[in-house]
Amino acid sequence: MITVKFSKIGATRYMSHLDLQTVIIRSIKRAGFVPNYSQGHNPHPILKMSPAIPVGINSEAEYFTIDIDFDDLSIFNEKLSKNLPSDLVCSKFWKTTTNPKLTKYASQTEYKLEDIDEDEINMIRGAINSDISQEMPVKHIDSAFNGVIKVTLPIGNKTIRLDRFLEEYNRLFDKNHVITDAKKVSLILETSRIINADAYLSEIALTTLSV
Amino acid sequence: MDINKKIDQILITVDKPARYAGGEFGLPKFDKKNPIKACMIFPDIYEIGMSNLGIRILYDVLNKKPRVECERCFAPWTDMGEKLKKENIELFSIERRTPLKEFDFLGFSMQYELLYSNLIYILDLANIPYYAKDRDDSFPIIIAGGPCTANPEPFADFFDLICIGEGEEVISQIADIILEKRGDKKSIIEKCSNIKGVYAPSIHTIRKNGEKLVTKAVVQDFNNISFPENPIVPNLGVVHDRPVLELFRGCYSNCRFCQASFFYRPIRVKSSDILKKQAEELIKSTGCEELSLSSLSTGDYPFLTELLNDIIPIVDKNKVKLQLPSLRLDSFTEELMSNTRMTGSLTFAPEAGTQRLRDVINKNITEEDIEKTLRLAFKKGYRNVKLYFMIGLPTETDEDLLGIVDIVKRAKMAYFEETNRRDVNVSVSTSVFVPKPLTPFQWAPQISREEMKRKHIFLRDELGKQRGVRFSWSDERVSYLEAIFARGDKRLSEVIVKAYEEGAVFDSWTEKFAFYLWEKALRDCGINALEYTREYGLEEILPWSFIDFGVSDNYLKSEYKKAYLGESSKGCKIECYGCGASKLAKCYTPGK
Repeated sequence: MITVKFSKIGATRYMSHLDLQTVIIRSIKRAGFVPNYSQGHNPHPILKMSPAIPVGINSEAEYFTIDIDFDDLSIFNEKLSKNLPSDLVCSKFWKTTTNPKLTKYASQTEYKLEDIDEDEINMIRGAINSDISQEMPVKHIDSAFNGVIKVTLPIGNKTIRLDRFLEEYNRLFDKNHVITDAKKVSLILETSRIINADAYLSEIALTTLSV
Repeated sequence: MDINKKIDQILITVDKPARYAGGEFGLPKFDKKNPIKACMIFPDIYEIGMSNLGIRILYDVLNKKPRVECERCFAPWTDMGEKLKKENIELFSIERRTPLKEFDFLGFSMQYELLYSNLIYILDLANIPYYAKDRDDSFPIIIAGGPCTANPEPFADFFDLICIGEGEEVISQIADIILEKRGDKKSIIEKCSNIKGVYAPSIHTIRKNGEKLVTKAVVQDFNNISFPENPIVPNLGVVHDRPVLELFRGCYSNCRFCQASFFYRPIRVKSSDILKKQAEELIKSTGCEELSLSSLSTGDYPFLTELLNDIIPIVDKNKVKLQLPSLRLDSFTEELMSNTRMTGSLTFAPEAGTQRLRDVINKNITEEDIEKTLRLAFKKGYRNVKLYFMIGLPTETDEDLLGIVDIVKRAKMAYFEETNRRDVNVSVSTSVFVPKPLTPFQWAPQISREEMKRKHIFLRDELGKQRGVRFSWSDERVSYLEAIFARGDKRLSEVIVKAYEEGAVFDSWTEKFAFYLWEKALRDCGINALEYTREYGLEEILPWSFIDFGVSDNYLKSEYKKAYLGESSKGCKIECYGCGASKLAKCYTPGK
């Protein structure tokens, strides 16, 4: 199995999750690789994806796992990157013996809102240090510093989608942010502990490659 | 706000934003020095336009030229169209978001009569004047192509140039002239009007005596024409989500209602060696799960056995499914069936319910052919069969409609005899006959709308008596409009604009089709539709009479007369009737 971390930005940010899967499989085939197929009436390549994100969000932390008997991560990267649409960019590769089950363990998503003006940054810092710090939406704001606001939203039982968060945020702070202002920067897992997906993958992998 | 940011924000508020986002694999590099810029436009949404082979070919031909860069544009769905208007953003291309107004030339693929309002929709969104005469040198040269150029008159006044016939070589010549005479529209149009296949409405004045002014463009060396071996692979699901191999152009059958068979004559065939190579290239460059072997009648491709022998190992190795659309009932063999991976249902088009009527329309299929093929299919495990028919064919009576019911009854009986079960699903689908230019039936009348309704009800009642049969019929108002525009003249341009301005758009979509808008537009322009749906006299000059398609008027007339006498003609493989198309290029008839 090879797990790949990739960015879904630019034009590909508008792709649906299902279409993304088709595009990934076709890219792998164009690159000349033969993935393992499922059994049964309608055999298809076995591809697992990290949880779906709403259409329109830029993300630097998407993952797919392809069931394939191929060892050389460097060659895999070289060939695959020539065959992907240009706005799907791979950044890390891990070779594992089993499926890392990222969706099962997915617990939180980290976002960044960038190019925020000084006034807004100060307002947010004030909110974080105030009485409403444990209320929605403020309780999900990690920090506001240097033009960047960091937000962590839960996935799973109580998923909070970015557009809902921004609705509340805009209402509270009288702003007009849209999801295209934000960027997903990490996927956080909860296995026996809270851990960033990258760190978890590097722990369980046989080999790792960063590009 | 930066326009790109504005567009990005709009995209998250509309349906399927990937339609407008581009960024697909297979895009050309766009790094040429001082190129001319072209935009190929299919006037329907992305999912439909990207399924069209014609646009793919032209896009590829142009981008392979050293000084041309070609982008694409499709009709934005109504939600996006409204947003663009509201935000004052002029319609732009997919690749680089270039406003259509800024291209050197635009090419529209005119595929279907009910897309004419979308042409105006796109020009409106792009802020480009609809009529060619209202556009000065600052606007792009606007070119039309595609099957509707068989009769371009209803839309001719919107275009500077019209490519009649096969566009791939003509568009290249036009591009060369535009490159040479950049910016000088008058001079470009004048020079292009001399290219074989090009109709320039501002220069070619149609004579009342039906004199031929323009000859249809035909590719001579079909084996070596430009082939898109690295097509763009869409980022979202499109209607035909697979690469296409063109096996041959033209058709060996001589069905009298079929415009395509006459439009794409003479018959040119690709060698199976070249097709094998192209199949390998396409599978490699797209990574797609299916490959389509396309033509007007794939079962009649002269080298089908060799081709399948060559291609099947390749597709099997790559786990690719072969799609063979357009299989006729008389050339559908056991071998073909086992090679077409079972896709659940088989579709055939007997077109008429009785042999008498099939002889009239020259659909040379016998009761035996139908039964034999269905039995073969049932034995192999197919349980779903779709049968296509037309109603309103010339000389049709209710007897012929009952013939449809007979065929269905026999299909069900055959299923029971082959499988000992009664769970077959037979779907009957009908559309109304539309007399088309360049066919022997171009003089025939279309039945009245009242007759259409009566026949639909009649069939529905008769088929309703059969269990397990589904009947669907196409909207007769759509067929009525098709007939008007198919044989229309320049007076209809005004109608198209009026209908659009009243709100007509995406007429080919059931949910958007607003017939009353067209009725009103016809009325407001003082047009009596009967002028276009009536029977024409054989000596009348028709709006498309000025085009030389190769096929002679005498041939069409003799086929027309034979039809009304109930006489059929054989297919081109069996006998050549000298239709005249071979004067345009060598016609491939095996065994001759």
